[in-house]
Amino acid sequence: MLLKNSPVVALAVVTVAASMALSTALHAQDERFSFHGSVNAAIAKSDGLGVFGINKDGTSDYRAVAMLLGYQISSKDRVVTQLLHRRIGTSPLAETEPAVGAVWAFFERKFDNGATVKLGRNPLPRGIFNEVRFVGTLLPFYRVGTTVYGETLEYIDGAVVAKSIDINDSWSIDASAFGGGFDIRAVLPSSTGSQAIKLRAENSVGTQLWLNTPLEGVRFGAFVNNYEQTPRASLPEASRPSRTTTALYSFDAVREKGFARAEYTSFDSKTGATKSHYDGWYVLAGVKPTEKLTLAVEYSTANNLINLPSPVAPITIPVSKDFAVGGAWAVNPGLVFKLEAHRQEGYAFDTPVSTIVPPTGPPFRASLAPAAKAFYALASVAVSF
Amino acid sequence: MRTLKVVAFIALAVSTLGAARTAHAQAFKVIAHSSVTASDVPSAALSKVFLKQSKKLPDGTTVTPVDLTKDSDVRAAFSKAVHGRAVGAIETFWQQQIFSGKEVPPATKSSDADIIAFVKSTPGAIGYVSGSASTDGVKVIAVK
Repeated sequence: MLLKNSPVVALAVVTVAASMALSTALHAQDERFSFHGSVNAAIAKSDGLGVFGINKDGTSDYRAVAMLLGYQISSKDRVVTQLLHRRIGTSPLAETEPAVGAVWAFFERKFDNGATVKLGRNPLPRGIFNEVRFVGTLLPFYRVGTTVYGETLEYIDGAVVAKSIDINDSWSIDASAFGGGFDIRAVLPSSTGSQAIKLRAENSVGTQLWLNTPLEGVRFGAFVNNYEQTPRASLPEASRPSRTTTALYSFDAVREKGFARAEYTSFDSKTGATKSHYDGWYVLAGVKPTEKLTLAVEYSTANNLINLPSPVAPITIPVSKDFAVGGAWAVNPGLVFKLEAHRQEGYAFDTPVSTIVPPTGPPFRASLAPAAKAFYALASVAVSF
Repeated sequence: MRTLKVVAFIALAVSTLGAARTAHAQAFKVIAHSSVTASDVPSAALSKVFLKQSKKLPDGTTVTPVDLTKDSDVRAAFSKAVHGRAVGAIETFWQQQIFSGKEVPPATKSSDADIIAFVKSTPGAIGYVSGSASTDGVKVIAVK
């Protein structure tokens, strides 16, 4: 019945079955091949405004299917590619999504001292979820919090060097350093409706550090990245964006019966005399009353301080506040069903909403329009192998 | 009288714990290719090898781990005793490793015979089999 009525589930089943058959065939052919995949498919509905591609009509066009192929050239070298097919309902960002894209394509060398170097299009070590942001079996909700992860910095074209360092028997550090470029995508409101933008950052350098504590499953992370938004060369000097630094700090505690996580990110940007400051964070907690059941709650929020044309004073916009509750049933670690409900309040919707009310006279202070809100819910299935 | 009861309870608990440990010890045997020089290995070091966090045993020997498939009772016993975690938790660990582009799990075999054949023919290989399996032609390594 479920299969008959849901093309999403049917697609997921067919994809997984075909992928598993391919996996078996590849393994039989040569153990140097590795093949893995994940499917994260949802049906979703909002009670009003569109949020992340979920509107009042509901959508079944909501999924992320990843296929990962690796070949071990030698004991030290391998090549890996990950292909991603992603659908995000009616989101304006959908027009920037290819039907299938290569989100990873890298060569990796491992050294005897435990260091690794990846070259090409690499997974970017950034916070708790960045590299696994589309793998539903590893996420408590359908998607990672947008206030921290957004639609950018998913991967990096260039190089990533990683090394684990034991401080003593109890403490250790996982360190990564990277350099290169990446895509930036965002939805911006305009007078004719929301528009997706796709930009490019280059000359990026950064690091991700994890401090692993003696408490099993408890660690602290810090990510810093400095980059240039391009194209710059064709712009007059005065209007070129300055180099931007973004940071992300993480707390991650995962135990057998539950988890608690929190992450905070911020970045400043400056073009000529215009500055802005963004900060976003989330807290996430969950319990596992049984081996199969996980119950989770999450609160995420973001603020954007923007400068307005002189003499109007700067204003902080509380862009988004999202409260979510959800339950997940893991038939096994590779097959998880989820139900979740969200309440979104603020100004970050697929359809533009009133944000700033301009001042009409002295003292030239802008005010905020009333925040909009919407409830939305998702039912999803996640498979990985 | 009450003291006697407490002592008896503790003795029973200790003997039960001991029996459980013995059962774990008998549930699997760690085996390696004859080229592997170590005769025993701490369980923490063995766990690192099977999670691919280390390629070497404490004596410096480079090893290649091989696992039983995830539905195996022997693997369940090995996982609890060596990793201190259930097979499901280890599977989640491997999902994290795979989908963050870091590492893929060790090769898996579906039976004792397949593990023994692989270990026998692969220099540096290390695996585990059921406690009752014949281990002719491979080296048995004690877990400390």
